[in-house]
Amino acid sequence: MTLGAWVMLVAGSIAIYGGLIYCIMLTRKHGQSHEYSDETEGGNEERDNIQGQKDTEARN
Amino acid sequence: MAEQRERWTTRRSFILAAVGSAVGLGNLWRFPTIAAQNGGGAFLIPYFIALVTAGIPLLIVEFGLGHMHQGAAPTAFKKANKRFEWVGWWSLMCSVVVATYYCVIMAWSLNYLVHSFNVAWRPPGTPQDYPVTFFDKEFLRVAEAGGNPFNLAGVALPIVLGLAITWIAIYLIISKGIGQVSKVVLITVPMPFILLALLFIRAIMMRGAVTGMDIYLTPDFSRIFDAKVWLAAYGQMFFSLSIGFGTLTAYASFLPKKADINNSAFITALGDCGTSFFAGMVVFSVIGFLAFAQADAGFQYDSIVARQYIERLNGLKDKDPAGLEEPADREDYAVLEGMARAAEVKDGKPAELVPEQIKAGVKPEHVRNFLARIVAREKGISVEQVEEKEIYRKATQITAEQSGPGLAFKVFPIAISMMPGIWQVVVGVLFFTMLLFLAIDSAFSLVEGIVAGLHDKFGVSRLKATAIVCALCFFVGMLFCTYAGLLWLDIVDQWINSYGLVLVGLFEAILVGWVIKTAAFREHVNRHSEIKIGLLWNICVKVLTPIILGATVVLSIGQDIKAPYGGYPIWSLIIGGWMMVLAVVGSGVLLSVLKERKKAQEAQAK
Repeated sequence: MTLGAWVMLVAGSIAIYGGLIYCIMLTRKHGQSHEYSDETEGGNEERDNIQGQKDTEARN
Repeated sequence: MAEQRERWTTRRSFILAAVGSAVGLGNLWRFPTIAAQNGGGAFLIPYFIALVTAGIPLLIVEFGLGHMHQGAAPTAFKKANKRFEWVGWWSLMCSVVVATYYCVIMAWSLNYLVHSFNVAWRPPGTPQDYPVTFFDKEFLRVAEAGGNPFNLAGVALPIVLGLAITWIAIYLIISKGIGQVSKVVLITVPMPFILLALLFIRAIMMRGAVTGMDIYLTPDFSRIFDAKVWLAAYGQMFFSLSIGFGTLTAYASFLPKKADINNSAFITALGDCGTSFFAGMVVFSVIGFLAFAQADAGFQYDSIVARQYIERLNGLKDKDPAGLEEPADREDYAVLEGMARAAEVKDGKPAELVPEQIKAGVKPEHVRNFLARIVAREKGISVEQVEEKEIYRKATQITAEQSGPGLAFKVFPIAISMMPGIWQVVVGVLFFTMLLFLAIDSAFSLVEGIVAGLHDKFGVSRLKATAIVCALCFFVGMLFCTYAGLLWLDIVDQWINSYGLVLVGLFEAILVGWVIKTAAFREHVNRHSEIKIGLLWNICVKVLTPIILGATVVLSIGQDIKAPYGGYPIWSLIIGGWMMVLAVVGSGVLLSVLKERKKAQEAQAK
């Protein structure tokens, strides 16, 4: 590959994937402050079922 | 009792669903070719600037509207400003139109996945470019329409079957609500990345792949000063992020009150860009391989090389072949002289092996090696450099000629059919499975927007709304399964993108930038966000985005006035283009003036 292609590959990867990793790390750092039903208590499967039941009840 | 709004079960589900909605077929077949045609690696600079100044700000607008007003696009727009509800319905009608043909492309992919098991697009004994004939004449049978969209000619039943399966899958995914979508995206969103990675590992090991990567990434910085390159970057960014469909607004409306908006928009946008960037590496590795494989078969040398070849042979013909420097040259010369003359007769077109020569034991690589040696000597470079240049030229030609569906359904099948043995089946299955996974998230998100909209305003149950929309879209989509379907698809896609979605984006920017209190909106999205937006976001939404989108619309109108799009009959453009856009806007206005159900009103008030 040409030198220019290598430079753009590295620079593009750092900008895009580096930025993405940084943003994902931010979610890990501050994630606790958000209120998602599955991220507060109990297991995922159980909460999905509870949520599903709530949805069904609400629809009915 | 007022209905409780459904919620995403985890933040990861929401982000995956948003990324899945944004990432689609365009990431694979649009971004790489646009990048290569607009400065290669240098295109990344305007693209990245477009990401920061238009992509992310508009995503924040869409997420913010949905989250702030807890409703799909029409409800969100209406609560922001009553006069804008019709824009919300307009965006959802655009997504319905796109869903009708997007699912047809998924039906093609499904059919091709089945064909992958026996490489049906290139039966034994057929020429290398037979997959093109297969796609046009055997699969879509578009030739039977004779280029006239009004001549439907017939219906391709395998595509109808694929379409039915696709719509049933979409119905099953979204009919049970956002809880079900939360589970599905955990598989469907990461899967295409895994498959892309597997394809990349295979593709990068093939000869010619590095040359393909050179075309994709070598920067031509002179193109940065070209306004068209900047418009291409902003246009690609806009279409790639699924802005204007109202789906992301609907998704954000299912977020809990204490939820991050800005960082989710950053992750969605960067995830989409990352997919495009990576898909480009896979696409160009395969294009590089294809260029090499075609060069190896000896029919590819262009007229310039062929002329050089002929001139060289003409210069040698008075000499005794025995006086040639290398024994291999002497051997080849006698056989190939006749071919050179044949090429001369064909007006400099590449020489092809005739049956007599094949019988005499002349192999394609003889031709390639001979031509390469001749050109190398004339130019004073190595044979390897000649081959590299030829692969580069051929790959550039493929890139210029094929983008969009042609890349996936013509170029890739040709490349796959030239791979050794079992790799044809393995890569074929991987590639078309990946296409299906790429498309499915976008497809159901397109439907989710309108289902949520109907549910919010008219109180239609999710099951009923999903069934109605899926059935309606399936029947409308039958138009694209006819032999003239590809022609209609091309027209509708052009108009819905140029005048439907871009105008919705423009209205969104005007609404948030100029009509509602921008400071209050900014305060809302910043409240629980990990990344705070400031003055730059205001400038982007108020000034930059409207200017860019306005310029895009003006340019599109100018082009359509100058010459009929695609050379189609004017009536087909009026019906499939202008009237379709008018119908979409009209139905948006109609749905906005219809009275909402009391039950839905209560839910909204809550």
